[in-house]
Amino acid sequence: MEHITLSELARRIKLSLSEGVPLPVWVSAEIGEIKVNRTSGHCYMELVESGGGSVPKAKISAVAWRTQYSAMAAHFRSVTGSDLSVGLSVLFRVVVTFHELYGLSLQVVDIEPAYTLGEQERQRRETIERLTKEGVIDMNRSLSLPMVVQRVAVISSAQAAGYRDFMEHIAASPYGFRITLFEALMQGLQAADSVAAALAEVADRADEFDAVVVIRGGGSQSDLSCFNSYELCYVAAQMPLPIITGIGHDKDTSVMDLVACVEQKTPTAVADFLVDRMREFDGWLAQAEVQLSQRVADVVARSRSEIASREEMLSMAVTHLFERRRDALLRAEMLVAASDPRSLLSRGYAIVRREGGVVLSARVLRSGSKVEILFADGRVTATIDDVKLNVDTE
Amino acid sequence: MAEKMSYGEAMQELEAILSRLRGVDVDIDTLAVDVKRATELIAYCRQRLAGVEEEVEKILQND
Repeated sequence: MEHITLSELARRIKLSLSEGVPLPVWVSAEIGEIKVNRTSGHCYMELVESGGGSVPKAKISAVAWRTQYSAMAAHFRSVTGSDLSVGLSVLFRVVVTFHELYGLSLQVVDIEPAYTLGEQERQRRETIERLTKEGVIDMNRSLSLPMVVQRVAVISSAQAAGYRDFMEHIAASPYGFRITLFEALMQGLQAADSVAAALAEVADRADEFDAVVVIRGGGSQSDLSCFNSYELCYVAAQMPLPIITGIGHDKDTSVMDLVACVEQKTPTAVADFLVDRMREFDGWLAQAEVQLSQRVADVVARSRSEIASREEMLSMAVTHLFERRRDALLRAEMLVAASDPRSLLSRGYAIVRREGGVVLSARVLRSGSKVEILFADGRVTATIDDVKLNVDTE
Repeated sequence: MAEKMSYGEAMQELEAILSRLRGVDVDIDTLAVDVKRATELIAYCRQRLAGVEEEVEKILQND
């Protein structure tokens, strides 16, 4: 039967390719996988075009040889601030190659970073528009964070350095947080779905928590695009619990950051935020305690002084009373003393008496009357010689 | 005993006591009761903040 060898077929395919596709060609795709060989420096990738579901529309392996790769990566980093990573939408300049052993592959020779930025920006804007139109964009932001955030649901990856840093800072505080980890992929093509699923899990147990924390980071400048995903942010916006993000990207804020109730820069910033909140409440308690003891002291002091002043008033009233009585007594005494006839006599007055009565007037006396005269030191009997009345009594 | 008092409820009660105490005529008898309750609430919140669950039950007697 008419046949050709495999290698001959491969050669024909190669030929056909080089004639069929004008090479090199700019192609847009997403990075499904990316691995850089440490020794060789070559970068091996899998480029995909997502079909909207879990099965992509197209998938082709790609390679960027060391020289091109380091140049591209540097250029990309200088424009976007990020490294090439899984999940990114990129514009690559490729040469399609067919190798008799390795099959079809794309050789990447150049990159246009602006496309990636543009794509991210476009996705971001689109997501924001949709969420705004549907009226959900403000929902999580309008939730109020409880005064004490103690029971925390954390969405992160257990291996991530960000998670470890977060837990370290939390553990270092004197407060008793109750942290529950809901694991999710925090980067790559599945990240958006994974985080959304974790959020849904937390939402089912919403009454067990005070807030949800979404953290990622650890220094690498990896892609934020999963956090611009409409599907993820739609779920996030409608979370019944306030979301606190610490997704670790200081260039742009992702839509997730925008939608969240509280946004922090890094996982440690989130931990510090939570600890500070506890500290604030703790401080309020201390203040309440001080106020309490101050008020008690005030009230006791006031009561004491009230009692003291009443005591004083009482003793003053009693003293006054005594003094008045004593004065009255003294006056009476003096009056009595003054009225005593003996005091009259001692002052030189004499009392004239006649037959049992005191003579009060000269009129009752005649010459020859016999009278008795009392002195302070004795009595004499006398006979009246002469009576002369005062002219004005006539 | 009902379920644990929330921080918000404790804070509200504490605020109410403090504002009562700021008033001009404070009865010295109700003062003792208020102070005891306020001290209880503060201790409860402190223990809960520290995450010490067992202590919490002992502190709140009449709730």
